[in-house]
Amino acid sequence: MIVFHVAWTGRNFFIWAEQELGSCTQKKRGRPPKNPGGVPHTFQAPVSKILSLLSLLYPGVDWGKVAKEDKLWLLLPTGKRMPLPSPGLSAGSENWEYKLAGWEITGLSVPIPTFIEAIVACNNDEQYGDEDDSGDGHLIFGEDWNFWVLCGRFMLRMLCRQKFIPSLAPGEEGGVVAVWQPVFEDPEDRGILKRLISAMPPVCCGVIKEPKQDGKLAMPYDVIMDYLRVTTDELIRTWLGDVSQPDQNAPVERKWLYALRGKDRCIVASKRQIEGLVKGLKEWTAVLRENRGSFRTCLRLEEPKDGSENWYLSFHLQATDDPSLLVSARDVWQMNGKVITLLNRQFEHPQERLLEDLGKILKIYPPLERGLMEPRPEGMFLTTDEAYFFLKEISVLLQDSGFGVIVPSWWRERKKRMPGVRLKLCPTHDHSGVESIEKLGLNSIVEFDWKLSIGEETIDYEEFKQLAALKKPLVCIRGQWVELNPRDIEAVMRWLEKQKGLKKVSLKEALGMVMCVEDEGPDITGIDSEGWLHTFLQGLAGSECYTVLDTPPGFCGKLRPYQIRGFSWLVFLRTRGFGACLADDMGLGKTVQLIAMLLYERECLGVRGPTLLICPTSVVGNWLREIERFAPGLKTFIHHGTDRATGDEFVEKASSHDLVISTYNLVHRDLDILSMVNWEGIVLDEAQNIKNPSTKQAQSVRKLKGKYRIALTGTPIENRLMELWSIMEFLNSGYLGSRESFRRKFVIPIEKHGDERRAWQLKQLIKPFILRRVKTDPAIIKDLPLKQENKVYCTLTREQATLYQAVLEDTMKRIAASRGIERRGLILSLLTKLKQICDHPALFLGDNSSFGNRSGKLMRLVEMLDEILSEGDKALIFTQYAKMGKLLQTYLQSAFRREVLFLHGGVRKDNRDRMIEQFQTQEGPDIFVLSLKAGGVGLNLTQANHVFHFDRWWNPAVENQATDRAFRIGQHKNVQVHKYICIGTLEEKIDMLIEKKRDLADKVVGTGEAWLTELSDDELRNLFALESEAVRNE
Amino acid sequence: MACRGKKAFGSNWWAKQWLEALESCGWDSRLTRGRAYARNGNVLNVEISPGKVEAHVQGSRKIPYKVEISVKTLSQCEWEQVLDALASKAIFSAKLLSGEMPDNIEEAFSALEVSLFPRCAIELSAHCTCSDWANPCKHIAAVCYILAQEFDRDPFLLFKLRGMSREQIMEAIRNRRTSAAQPMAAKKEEDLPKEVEREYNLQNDEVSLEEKIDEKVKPVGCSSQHDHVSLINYWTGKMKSMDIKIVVEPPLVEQSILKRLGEPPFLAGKMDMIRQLERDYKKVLLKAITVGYKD
Repeated sequence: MIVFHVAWTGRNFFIWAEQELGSCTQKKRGRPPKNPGGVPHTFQAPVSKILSLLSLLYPGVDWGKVAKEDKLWLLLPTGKRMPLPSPGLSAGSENWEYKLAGWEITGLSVPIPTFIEAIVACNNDEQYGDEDDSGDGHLIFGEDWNFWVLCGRFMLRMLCRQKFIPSLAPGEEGGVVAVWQPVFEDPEDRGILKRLISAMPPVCCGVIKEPKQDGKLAMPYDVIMDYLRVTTDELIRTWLGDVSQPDQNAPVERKWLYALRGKDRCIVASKRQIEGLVKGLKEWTAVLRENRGSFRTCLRLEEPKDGSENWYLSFHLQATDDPSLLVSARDVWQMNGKVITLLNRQFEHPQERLLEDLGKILKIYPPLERGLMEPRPEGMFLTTDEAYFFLKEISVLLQDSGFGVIVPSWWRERKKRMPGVRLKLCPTHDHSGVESIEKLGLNSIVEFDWKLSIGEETIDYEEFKQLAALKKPLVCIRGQWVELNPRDIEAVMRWLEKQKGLKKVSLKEALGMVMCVEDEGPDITGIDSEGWLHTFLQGLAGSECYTVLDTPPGFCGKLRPYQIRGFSWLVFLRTRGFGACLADDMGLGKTVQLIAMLLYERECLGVRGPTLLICPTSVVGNWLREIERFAPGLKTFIHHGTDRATGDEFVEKASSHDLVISTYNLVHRDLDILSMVNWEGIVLDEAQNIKNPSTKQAQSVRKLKGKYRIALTGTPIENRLMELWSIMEFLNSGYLGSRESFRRKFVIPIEKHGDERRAWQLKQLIKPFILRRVKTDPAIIKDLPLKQENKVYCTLTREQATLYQAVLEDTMKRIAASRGIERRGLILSLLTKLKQICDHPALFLGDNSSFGNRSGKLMRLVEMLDEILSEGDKALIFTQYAKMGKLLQTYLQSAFRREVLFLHGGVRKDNRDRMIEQFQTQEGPDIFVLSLKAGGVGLNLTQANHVFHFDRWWNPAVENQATDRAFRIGQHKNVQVHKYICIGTLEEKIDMLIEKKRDLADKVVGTGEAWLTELSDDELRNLFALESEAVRNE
Repeated sequence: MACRGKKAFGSNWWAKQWLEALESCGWDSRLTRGRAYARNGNVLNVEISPGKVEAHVQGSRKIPYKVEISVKTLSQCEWEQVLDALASKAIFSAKLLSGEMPDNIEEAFSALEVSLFPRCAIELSAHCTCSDWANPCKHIAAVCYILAQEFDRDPFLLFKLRGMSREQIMEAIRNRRTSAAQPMAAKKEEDLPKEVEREYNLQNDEVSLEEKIDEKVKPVGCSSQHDHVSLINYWTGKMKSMDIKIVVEPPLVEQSILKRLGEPPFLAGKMDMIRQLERDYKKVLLKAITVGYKD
């Protein structure tokens, strides 16, 4: 494991890395130093290793040549004379107890342009080492690294949009130097900057100038501004390159222009010359520093109303904080006062202000002069060409300059009204019957035709030709103004010519055209369709046109209305051979919807063959229990374990069942066996497991053959584009094109450049195949209980099972041989031990070895938290073992790389109050671990809408009290309670006992766990025995 | 009081016109004598009031010479006509208020047989405390150059010299605009408010432009940000929870800033340098796009 860091030194970037203590090359010599200030960091990665990794990650740069070995002093959290490792590296230490001390870091100095051009520009979405299956990839980027990369992107954004000016600054060694300065005039840029400042990891402020023990962190604002100033100047001057030096007697302006490029930024000139230049620059850029006050001048362009070409540009004053408050020039001219008051806002010198602004606008937009030739001008007429120029260019310049501009609303939407083509699709009326065509899904052959269109309007080819011949940038088509640029027109015409004669394609090809397969092709603006295609494609428009079915008779339980719609939708798509992705929020019941569909196809569609369900090992138990509960008639078996069936035996076994459950881990290993069966369908649960399309799991899953394919996922995949591609590729192979072309066409434009049209197109494309309901949707909320309790069934790992068995056998022998108090003591201690083993072996053993994959509960918890956090939700996690709480906190912190709070009995009141306050703020930590005793009462934690009970207390009153921390007055969201139970262990059996016998439950409420001590040896043995299904076999 | 260098005297047409007007009043040959004086900062201060300019000029003597230039103010009747003309087109006020002399203003004046700039020697007289018999002496000439520079900065000063302050003019035009038809009473000289001349001592000027730009960005209370940082937050900040997305996109309009600021006044007429600046902006945009859109 190695963690990359980068620091901003004020001149350049400094790359360094931590590595695990064990693999450290630097051996500590002698006693640890008394004074850690200025002492070398103790577990850094050697520079040679950083260099080789950089060359691997960012080829194309001669890192050995560009980067120079260097030293830096950095303030780091320090424990016992050692810097504390960053959260990426290892499970750390006490949360609150650390001090900052300076450490000497050895790393690489990287010039600004190299960092920006090689690292920032290449920082793609595929994080190295973030995937658990990428083999050697134990490389993590610290958040400080991510932060500076983000700042680098901000820099590129500023430069790309030319938000900089040439200027002068005092030189470090006296005199003046020429500099390029960033200009933060755009409110959006200022917003980003503010967010960067508040997101900044403090370690980024920890660079100190000299080796010393204590130092103060710099202010985030100062560090970022320093970074922006220096990089803006450095990048621009490097990019511009050197030019020939002007001679000594050249005018100062020329010297200045020269000093703005290349390495030499000093200007040598007389004081008077410099002063003149300073003054000139100040005057020139004065506009940028203006404070516009409570109102500003606003120009409004209105389109011709009467079918003429008379556009009207009117003058107004506009309240800066309320753009809807407009005062027309006509009204302004009637205000003969120095101050006017409107809606509690004071406008000073309204007439002069309006005139002064018009004077300034005149410099940007000279044609305005025409409108100012009368004493009280209210506006002016523009021709269509002028209006176009105003819309296209002037409106932007004016807005950038701080003036208000109001343009017709269609101008912003014009991209959607570009000339394009509409596709008309009909099912082929083949004599083989509708049914068989439908089953072909995307391979169905459809008839199609093209229509020329502008927005929603279809227009005649000849009419279009006439419009194009006008060669006007703006034309009015059936009352709607449309921007026509010659390039688009040509593209449409050329493409239509090419399409002649092609009349029948597969549905997949037809839909593929919507995403504009050919880059130079026109936009496809819509689809008109008939028959079942119409029903299917209505999904494009978002309406739900499938038939709502009845709950299948064999389903035990009641489906909520939206769940009925969900399973009907699954049936609709599967019967037509389309892959479907059910992406409902966690807690909405994806499992029961799939179970209902499986029952329906067997009971109502006459399906006989088995369906294969692939899920993570951690949820196998949950599936088993849910099927037993809701569809006991569904014959299910789990394909896992070392003694799992192979070859013909497996095929035979599978065909006598309805559902076969297997795991992602096995898919690759058992691909041959799994491929021997004719599957009815293939279902992926937690489909985000194949988010990385190049993993063996993902590739194997795609090779499985079934008549239909379904994916279930709770993560918002529409925002994770490569994940979306991978799942869609499984569901409807080829539909979104190859991975590379998808990346080029959608991922890069959408994620890097915010291309809204592409995002919109993609959304249209995937809409028919993805159903996603969110729990905040009012239509869903009314179907949901305010507090929803789920039991989450987990399996034990092999280690857990072995421990469980050993402890059980050993203690049972001793219990059998004891009496009275001793017997009771042994029983209670056995109970505790077994519960601890179910939680985590490390809790029982007290060892500190690796942590991540030794507990079934923990693995499930991480998966669920991942979903919850990606939704922006917050969670409480209760455990009755303070030590488990500590382990969870430490592990989750490093797993999610964000702060996790932990409240236990030993926390002082002021710390406790601070934690609660932190958690209750929107931007505070998202995960709060509480020991049941410390956190059970008196706290108000309504920011959380998920409550986990990591282990059970067997006392509903205590558990409910804990749950009510989140579910109490002030909670606006529905609360989901997840009770973790290890399948086939005492946890499940006690739970069942309590559920079955309410009277026993009542007894339990009064007495806690003491009733157990009254049981006989046999009863105990039965209760504690480990059932075979408890163990997960990999 | 120093000048901005060789080209600085009257870089705007109205300031040039002022100098030309003086030359046409017969001051031509002698005016050049003051140029070096003006450039070297010998004019210590200038005060403009209706009809009169008072200035102190450091000559060879220890005590500065006192220069007084008198310009004929317009009569109330003439002013009425001028104001009518100014109020007839909004563009005059718009340009004046944004710091520019309307280029067709002289037409507006001449139609009324009134001139903004002094037209003959009768309208102009000057006096200096030096012993030079020549009039204008180089001290007076220096003041004339400084005046050109002042008019450059604020075109209203020219009006003030002819008898009306900015406030009076604007109020009078406003009255005409709102058609309240209030008779404009030309106030007597002593009633005119003494406009405080802006100090522009260059030594006190900040070299840097950054400060003001920063103010718009600085979040309030950002100084307390490091309080109570937990160990994990020391390394991560709020990176995960804030999830900032930054879009790199080309500008809607290229060179927006250059287009809005216009040509730098100090590069006026130096087309090669202006073009170079434009090329630099273009080059940065192209490079930034190539880097930002890599892959």
